[in-house]
Amino acid sequence: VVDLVGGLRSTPQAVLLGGYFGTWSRPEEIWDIPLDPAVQRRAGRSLGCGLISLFESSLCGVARVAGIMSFLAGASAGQCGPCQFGLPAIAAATDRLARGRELSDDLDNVRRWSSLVRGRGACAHPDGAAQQLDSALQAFAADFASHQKCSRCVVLARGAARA
Amino acid sequence: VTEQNPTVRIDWIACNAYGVCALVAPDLFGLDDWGYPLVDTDQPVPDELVRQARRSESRCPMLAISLETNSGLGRR
Repeated sequence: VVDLVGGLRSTPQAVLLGGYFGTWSRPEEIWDIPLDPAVQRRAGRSLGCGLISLFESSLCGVARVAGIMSFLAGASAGQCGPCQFGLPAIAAATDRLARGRELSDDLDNVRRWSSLVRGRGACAHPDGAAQQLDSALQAFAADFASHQKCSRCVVLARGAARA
Repeated sequence: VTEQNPTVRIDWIACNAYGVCALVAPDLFGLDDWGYPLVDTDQPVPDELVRQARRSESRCPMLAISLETNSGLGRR
């Protein structure tokens, strides 16, 4: 599929399958898995809405996830408390992490809140958001950790060093 | 726990985080960071907590708690 749209300019840092309710993977985890729904499911992935998004290696994954979570928080219907309050809290904390303004417990809270919003709404909006968030916390684990520990983005720092 | 014990169902839209459930049924309900109930909605309520569960159902100011039996016939 990637070759069809012109091939790769550089190896992507991560791949988001299935859009904002989908799952993030490191490219090496999924590059060889065929785009077959059954096979994908066995690998714990899903094509979901059918979107494949490649995330460039020079960008900050934490910032990207913060942007997505803030979009999803805004998209909440605001009917059920855990979603109404949980998603904005997650969005604010990931945004602080992305900007290097994190509080000491932001990353722990994001992890905890992600499981806290699951299954606790009338619809599955929070569940989809949490699924994408959990996979991002795994795929960008090192990045989230360095944002929390040193208020710094290793990816952007690497880019700056190269420039 | 028998097949007959009810499971807790929360109407998340109705719930307004009054927290009465955690007051009247403290062994069944916890509250999250925003005051919304934390409760196992998958497993039937154990025998010793059925009384608390019924109390929470009748005391919830938003009537957001219902007890359902496995038969799918709703409340007993």
